[in-house]
Amino acid sequence: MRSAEPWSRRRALAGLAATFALPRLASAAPRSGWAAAAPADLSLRNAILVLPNGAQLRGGLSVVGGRIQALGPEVDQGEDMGGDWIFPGIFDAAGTLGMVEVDQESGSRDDRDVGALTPDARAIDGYNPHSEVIPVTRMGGITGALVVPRTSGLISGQAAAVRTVGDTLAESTLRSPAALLIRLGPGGDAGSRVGALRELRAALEASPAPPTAQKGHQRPFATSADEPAEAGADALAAARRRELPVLIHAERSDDIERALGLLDEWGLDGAIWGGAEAWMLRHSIAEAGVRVVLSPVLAQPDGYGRLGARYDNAKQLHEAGVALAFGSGGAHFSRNLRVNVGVLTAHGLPWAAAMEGLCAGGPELYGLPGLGRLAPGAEATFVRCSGDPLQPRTAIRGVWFGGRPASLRSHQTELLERYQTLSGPAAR
Amino acid sequence: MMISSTAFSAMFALTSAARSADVAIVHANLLPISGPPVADGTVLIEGGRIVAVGPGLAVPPGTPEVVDAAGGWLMPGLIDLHSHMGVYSWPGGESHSDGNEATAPTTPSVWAGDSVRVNDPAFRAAVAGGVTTVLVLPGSANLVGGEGVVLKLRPARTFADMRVAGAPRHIKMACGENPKRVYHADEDGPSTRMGNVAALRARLQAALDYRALRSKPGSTTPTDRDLDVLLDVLDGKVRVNVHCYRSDDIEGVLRVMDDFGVQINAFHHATDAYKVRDLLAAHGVGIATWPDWWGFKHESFDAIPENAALSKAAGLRVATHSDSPDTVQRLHLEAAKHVGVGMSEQAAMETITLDPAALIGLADRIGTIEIGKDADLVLFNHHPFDVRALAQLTWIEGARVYDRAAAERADAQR
Repeated sequence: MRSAEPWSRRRALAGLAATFALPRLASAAPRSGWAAAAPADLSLRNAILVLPNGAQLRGGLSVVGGRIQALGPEVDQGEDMGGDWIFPGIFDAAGTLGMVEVDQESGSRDDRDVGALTPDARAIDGYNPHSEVIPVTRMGGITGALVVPRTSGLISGQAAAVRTVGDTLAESTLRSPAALLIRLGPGGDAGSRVGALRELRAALEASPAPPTAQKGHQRPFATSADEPAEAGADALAAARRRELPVLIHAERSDDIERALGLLDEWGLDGAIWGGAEAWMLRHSIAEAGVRVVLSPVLAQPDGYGRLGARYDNAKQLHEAGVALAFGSGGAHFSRNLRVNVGVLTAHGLPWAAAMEGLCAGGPELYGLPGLGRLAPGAEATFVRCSGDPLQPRTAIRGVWFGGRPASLRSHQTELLERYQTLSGPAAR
Repeated sequence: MMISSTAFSAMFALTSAARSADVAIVHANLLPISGPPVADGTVLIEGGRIVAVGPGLAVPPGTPEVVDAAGGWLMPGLIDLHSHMGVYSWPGGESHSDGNEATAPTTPSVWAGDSVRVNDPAFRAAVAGGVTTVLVLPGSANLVGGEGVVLKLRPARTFADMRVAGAPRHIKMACGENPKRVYHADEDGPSTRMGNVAALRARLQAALDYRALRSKPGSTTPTDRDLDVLLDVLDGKVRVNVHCYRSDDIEGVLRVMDDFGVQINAFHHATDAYKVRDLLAAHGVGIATWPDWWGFKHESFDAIPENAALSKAAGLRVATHSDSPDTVQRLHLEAAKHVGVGMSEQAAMETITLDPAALIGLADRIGTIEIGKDADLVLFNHHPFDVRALAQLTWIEGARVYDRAAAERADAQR
């Protein structure tokens, strides 16, 4: 099975596996749908393929050793997709998948009660690869997610990038840490904005300075997984060495302005998460080369932190040249990403930009090469949909990871099977 | 509800004789809901009512407002059976938290109308999504939370102008996790599901006892407004709407109401309805639900996307509700999701028009495009189940209450 794994997860996870030394759960029945025995060679035909530029190409797709070998009309062998669409799979660029089973059941939550300044907290320590939410999410077309340790800390810790498949932490993890979380704005543990910024600056000042000026430096792990960013208490130092991107949650425009200032002042590599009023600063954001992870995708002017939220936020950012990604922000509603992002196209975001942000935005931001694009050489992780994935009347019909089909069963499909025909005496 | 195209044409023939109109909407792809879609449809409005509907009708000479809807899709204004707009106004916060009178497990005499903030910006956002009528309810902290109010989302200066005069009364009840979570043993509970059911039963019995006492000659029993409202419920004067997720909670509430002879109007949220859809059908109870909300509490963990489709197929009235000032703006796309899991387009359309109209008790006035009904209409630029669809114009009783082009012009000048 490991040999069929197309992407060098083993290297990426070397540090993690050493930390946990988890036994393989050989005796446990596989539940996640990671079809261990299936071959990673695959051929599909008669599909509409969504290419990185948004073009829709009729044809097939061949996979060798878990990677896409060829795609287009020349591939006319294999399983008939019946004209269905194949797209690279959605990456939920910020949320709590696997950290929360039921929101209002405290025993099922591992996304809170960490502390205010906890750069050493790791989301992967709370991630449950057997969460019933994961198969439901996978069947919403989501193949990867950034999992955050929690949302209310000032520096809340290290996020992990995961696949929506896998029976163990080792199988599920794409990269950990994948980002360091900072939160600006009201309602956090520091209380006011004034207090929060004061604490944040103090924490940054206390962290070791990078050895040399690194401004504009390409962070090394974007291209190599051999040297994972240092985990633990010196995560801030790793961020200051630009080895770990910083995801700053900010919604109100002045918070976004502060976030840009922090990134610049401290030489950090990072992105904005939230971004409800980002349109107001679109040119500054574009100039800084900072990506925006819109979350919620359809932010509303429903609170004092985002009274300037509007539907054409994404359109305005895109037109200004800002790269986008999309995050659900929670555990259960990743599957709504595709239609919610579709709504942005009604408000002027080009369809191709919407698909690119959905599928490739997260992988680019978190340094996951080979994910999020249908192209020769890319990992064969993709999704089959009955039509345009951004439309509400379409349905997800298949999910592959590294060329291997994942199970399409979930708690919800099992309930449907049980109650499709009502058993027992008629109720009255 | 479908009628044959022959009968439909005959109806048009009878109605094409409207001699005058205030507004004419022409060349629309028409989704009347009461019948199949109509190409090149015309709707004539006079005095706030629909006076003619059909394909290619002549526009009476002198009609002051003629809207060319070519390429657009015209349907009845959308209806949301479960809203807290106004009682949890934007911007959210403690100042605007007016939806749950969480001071006692039953507060029948409070009325959501007394909490509504007329200037809640969410009302305008909902109209921009084509929504014209909503049932605003108290929250679900209480077993009996109080009465709701039916509003039309016209840009009104006063609450009285939003309220639909003559609309049926609605009361909000709740079971399951919310009521048992809010009150504690030191506040006399309830703290369990069995406590919920016993408390509801006790309160209804108290109303009957109160009536018996009051009817005795020379009674000095003082007026109790809460019990008076419960007597109205027992007498069938108020439509009963119960927030309820789990199928066994649904069964429990039905047991109580059967014993007291109370007809339930609709179970709201009802994410387990599919498990007991035969029971609901036998009781003539509708549901109001989402296409895909789940997992936020344990009682919603068995929600499946097919819930509405299975319930509709079992003959229930099904309203696609929002319970949210956000998704109410995209109710048409919420309904569209049902189509992806097997519901017909016509049935899915009914869940945001005719079914909630019937459950509100105003199917004679709203929910379809038919002669004599209120001219509550929305014109979309694409088929309403297409993700690109945006309401371009919305009318309430013939008055234009939303105009996207005008709104965008005004926005550009800010």
